[in-house]
Amino acid sequence: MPMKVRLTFKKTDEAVFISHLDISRLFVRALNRAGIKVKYTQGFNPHAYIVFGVPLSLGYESICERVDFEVVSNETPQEIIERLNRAMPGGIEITECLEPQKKFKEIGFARWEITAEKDGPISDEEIERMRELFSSDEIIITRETKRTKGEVNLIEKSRGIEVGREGENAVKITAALSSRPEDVLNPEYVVRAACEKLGMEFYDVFYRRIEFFDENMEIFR
Amino acid sequence: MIDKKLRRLLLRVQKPARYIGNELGSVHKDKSAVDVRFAFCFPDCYEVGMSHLGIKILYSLLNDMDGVSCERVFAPWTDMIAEMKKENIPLFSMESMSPVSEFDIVGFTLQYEMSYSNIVLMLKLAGIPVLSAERKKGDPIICAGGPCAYNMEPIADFFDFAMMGEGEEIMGEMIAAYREYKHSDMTKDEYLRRISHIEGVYVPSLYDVSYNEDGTIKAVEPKYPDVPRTVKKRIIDDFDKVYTPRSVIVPNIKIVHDRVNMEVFRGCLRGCRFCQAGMIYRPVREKSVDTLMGLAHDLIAQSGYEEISLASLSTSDYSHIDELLDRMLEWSKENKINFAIPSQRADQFTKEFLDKTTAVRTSGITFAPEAGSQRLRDVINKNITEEQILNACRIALTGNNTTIKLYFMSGLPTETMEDIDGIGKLAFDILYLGARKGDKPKKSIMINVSVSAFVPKPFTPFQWMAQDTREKMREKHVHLKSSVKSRKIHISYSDDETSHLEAVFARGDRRLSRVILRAVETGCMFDSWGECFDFEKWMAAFEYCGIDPAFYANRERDYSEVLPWDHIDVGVAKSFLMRENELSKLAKTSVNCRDGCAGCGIKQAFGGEICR
Ligand code: SF4
Repeated sequence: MPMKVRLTFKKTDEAVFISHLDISRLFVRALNRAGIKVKYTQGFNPHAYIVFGVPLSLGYESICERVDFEVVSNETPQEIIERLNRAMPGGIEITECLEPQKKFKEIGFARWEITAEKDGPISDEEIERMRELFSSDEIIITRETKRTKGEVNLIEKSRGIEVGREGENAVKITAALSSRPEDVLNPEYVVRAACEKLGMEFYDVFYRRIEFFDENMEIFR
Repeated sequence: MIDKKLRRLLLRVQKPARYIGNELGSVHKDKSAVDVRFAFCFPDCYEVGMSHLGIKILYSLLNDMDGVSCERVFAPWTDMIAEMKKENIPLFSMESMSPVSEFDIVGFTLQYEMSYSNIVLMLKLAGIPVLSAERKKGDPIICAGGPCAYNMEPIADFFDFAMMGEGEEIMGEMIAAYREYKHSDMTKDEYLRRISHIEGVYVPSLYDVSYNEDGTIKAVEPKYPDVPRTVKKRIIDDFDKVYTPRSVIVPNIKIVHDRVNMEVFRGCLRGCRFCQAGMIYRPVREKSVDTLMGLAHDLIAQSGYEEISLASLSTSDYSHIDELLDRMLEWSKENKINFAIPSQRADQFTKEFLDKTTAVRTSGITFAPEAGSQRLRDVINKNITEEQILNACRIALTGNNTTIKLYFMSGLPTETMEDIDGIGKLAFDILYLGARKGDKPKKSIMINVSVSAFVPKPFTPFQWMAQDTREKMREKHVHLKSSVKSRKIHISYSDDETSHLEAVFARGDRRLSRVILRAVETGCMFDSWGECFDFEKWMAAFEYCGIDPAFYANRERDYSEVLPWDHIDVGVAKSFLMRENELSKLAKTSVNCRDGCAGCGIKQAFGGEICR
């Protein structure tokens, strides 16, 4: 019996440098290596029918990437996870294999963990000011995409932004940001807001996507 | 393993995955558990280097040896070079990200002349002294292999030694000798003397080159009596049983040849007179169909690729081609695999052949007439008639296929404008195939004519001949372009500046190393990339060194002249090359190695049994 599955996988370490386009090619090969047969598209040039969730920018980590396909061979979910993990290059690891509950277009938010590091120690006062900033009702930022440029309210596009200390030099910001297919907010804007509004400067910033949610902030599966 | 500094840097460059590695199939050995670390350097970017078959074989071979590790190094792209310089990061390997200067042996593969500047560039980025004479014991040993190693004179000063020919044996002997050197108080000079006794190992510094007043070479003399006068290439006798890796590294990013490449046989039975590969890889040695099928199965299963290419110099010459195609076809259908044959000879292209490959072919069909007239095709010993070319195209244009790609060379010995006209005429004849007199050609047909300038190469019958000057090349291009006035025939040329430099370095001698050093000092790199190649800089470097490139490219040599590569023996006799060159002047062809034996000298060099 063909079985629709949705995998959750991690993209960490060196794999953060693999682009979204290369990831899909890589999955096809990994499935082949693992001997897992999936449904193919019809037509002149058939290829494996594999659909990914929201793309991840180059350099960002994630522990919650999602990919859907239909398995036509007879592996159990556990077998799929084990065999695929043996066939994956370093930095990619499958953690879950479930039947899809919702459609990708129902994704509403993604939670991010942003570690922003300063050149030197960060003061408690600076952290406090960041907390204040992100608990206000409105932070207007200029958003530029390939096609459009416009002003948006960062707070309206988020569900909770928390700020905490991370060692001597860094802050950790946890933010649930809009990830609706037509309105994906890059977590970069959170850091940019702190820089622009508070005049802060960071030496190194590290982004990690940790979970997807629907409009009602229920975990997206 | 990737520290913060490197991570930040990688996020600033294009395609950072080029520098990361850890792909499936890559081998990571603990550096403290080995005593010989080998850095395999490809003097071009990752996508080009990883497409190359040889690197995969050597990588597995070396990593399969006890106590030896092999890591890969590619030339960082220009944006990465700038960042590395800024951050003071030396050239590093892909596997353990260690500085290349830490390795015991650094080996470069020499695939094309236009990569020479990148060798110097990489050594400099690694902080390794560029000249062999400047490197002491404790510095890495720098060695070379690959087709250009057979005449490595222009870059001889940079290398400690080169390995001529094929095989696991020479690698094993080379590593053993290195171990002895490393773990004893042997000096570097003693070590180099010692390895010069290994068959197939060439140590350039052990030869003195003297010159005549006219600039030609007077003699190449070994410095010591125990150093061999000529260095003979090593070959693998039984190609069916040769070491072949059963797994490959699968890149995480798209590379140039993104598929499994399976070598069906080594060598070529044809003997085209311009072709260096056809001479230096002699004789033909095949794998059996069973071996190939097993290999194809393993490589596809391990890599997950969905395409396999049957590689060789002329795959349709494989002696069991029908059986191989039948079995490949059946297997590929069952497993949803595409298989491709990179080159087809027009005289072997049949409907049946087409049917067996169309199901799986994506782009158009390519033939290589090489020359536009029958006379000139006979001069180069191509052994294809116009009738056969037209016939092949007629077959190729049945079904869905509407595009034909044709390869030609211009500037071949004895070529006249009439031969150039022949290129256009042939393209027209193909265009009008099947059309009745007075009719227009079929609507959708496209003929892509690709013309490259002839580059005379060492170890070929044309090694004595002059290359066209750049002016002559351009004149011929203009002539062809003005004589072909159809929008359905698209003509492209190779760059005359590149071809000229290629000709200089292909038949260059040791005096050219200064030019290369100078060119790199002034910023030359990635010369095979149009966007990086700077011909003016190269010409300035020649001028600076007082060397005339035309002496190397555009001069016809006398048979009596000592050629820079005469002390290298590829098994093909110089007398044979002369004979072939003389036959070419009479437009007389020679027999191929299946129908007879043209007596090239391989049997004498490696024993009569070798040519089966
Ligand atoms: S010795 Fe004869 S058969 Fe063998 S490679 Fe040379 S020409 Fe061909």
